[in-house]
Amino acid sequence: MEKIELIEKYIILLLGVKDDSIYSDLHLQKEMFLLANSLPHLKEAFDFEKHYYGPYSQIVEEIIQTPRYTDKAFSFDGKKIFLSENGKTEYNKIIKIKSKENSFNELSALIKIIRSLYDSLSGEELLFLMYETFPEFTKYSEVSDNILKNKYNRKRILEGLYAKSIITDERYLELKNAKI
Amino acid sequence: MQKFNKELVADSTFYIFFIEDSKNSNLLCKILNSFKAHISPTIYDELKMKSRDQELNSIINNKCNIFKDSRIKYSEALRPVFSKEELKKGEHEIIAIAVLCDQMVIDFVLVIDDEGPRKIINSHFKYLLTRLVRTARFIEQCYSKYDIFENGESIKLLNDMKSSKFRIDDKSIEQLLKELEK
Repeated sequence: MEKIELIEKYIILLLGVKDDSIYSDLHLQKEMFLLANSLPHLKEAFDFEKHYYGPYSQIVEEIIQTPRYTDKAFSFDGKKIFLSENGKTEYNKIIKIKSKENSFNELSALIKIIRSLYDSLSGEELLFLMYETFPEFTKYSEVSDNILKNKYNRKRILEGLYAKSIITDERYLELKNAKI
Repeated sequence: MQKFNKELVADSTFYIFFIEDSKNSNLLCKILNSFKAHISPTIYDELKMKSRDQELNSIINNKCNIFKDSRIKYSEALRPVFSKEELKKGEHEIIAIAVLCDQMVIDFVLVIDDEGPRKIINSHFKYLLTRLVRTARFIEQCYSKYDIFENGESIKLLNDMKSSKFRIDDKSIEQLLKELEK
C-alpha cells in the first residue's frame, strides 16, 4: 500500500472509531502526531514538522482537504471534522476485512486511547501538553511562550488539565514544579 | 489447568505483592494456573529480575501472554498523561493492555492498585470500571468468587498485606477479613 493511501486510511480510522467528530484541525493534527509516534515503523511517512502551532504534517492536511483514495471521505462543520457517508463506508469496509487480525486490534486500541484522552481538551490544553512532552516542537511556535512561560496562563491551563483528570497526580506535580 | 475463561490483566504491584511482600509465589502460581494473564513488557522484565521461583517463572514464560513483540509503542500516545517516573515503571502499559483486551472482546479482571492509571481509567475509560478491582479485593474474590484459594489462604495473604509496606488502609483490609471470616 502506498504511503499516502496508508495515511488516508489511518485518518479514516481515527475519525471512525468514535461517533463524535474531532473538534478541530489542531486536534486532528496532534492526535495523528501521537498516532505516528506510536508507530515507529511508519513514523517517517507522516513527516511531522515543527510549526507555528506545534507538530504539523502537510501530508495529513492535504489528505483531509483532498482525499485521494476515498472520494470526499471527510466532512466539515465549522471547525469540526467527521467522516462523510463515503468515509463511513470505507471505515466499515476496513473493519470488516481487518478486525480479526491481532495487529489491527492493537492499532484500534491505540486509536481508541488517543481519542478517549485528547478529544476532550481545549486547543491550548492540547498544545500545552504537546509542548511540555515534545519540547523540540516549540521551535518556530508562535504561541508556546504564552502557554508555557506566562505564569498565569500556565497555572490556569494546568489546573484545567488536572480538573479534567487528563493527567495523573504525579504528572500534575511534575508539570507544576517544572522550571520555566 | 485453566478453570474458566476469565483472563487477568494486573499491574506490577499485584505481582510484586506475592513475590516480595507476602513471599507466596505458590499462591500466585495458583492464580496464573486458573487465569490466563496478559503481562506488559516492563512488568515481565521486573518479574524476570525479582522472581527466583522456578515454577512461577515457568508458568509466566509458558502460560502467560507477554506483550513484548508489539510494533506499537503505546507509551508515546500516553506520554503526555503520565510523569516520567510513572512511564519508567510502565504504569501506563496497563491501560493499553486493558483497552486492547476489551477490543478483542476478552472477558478479563483488571487488577490495579497504582493511583495514576486508576484515575485515568475512572475518568476516560469508564467502560473498564466493571472489571476493575484492587489486589486486596481480588484476593478475597479468589476464595469467594473464583474458588481458587482456600478461605485460610486468602486470610493469610490479607494479613501479610496488612503487615507489609503495601499501600492500603487498615480499614479496607479489616472489612475484607470480616467478609472472609463470616
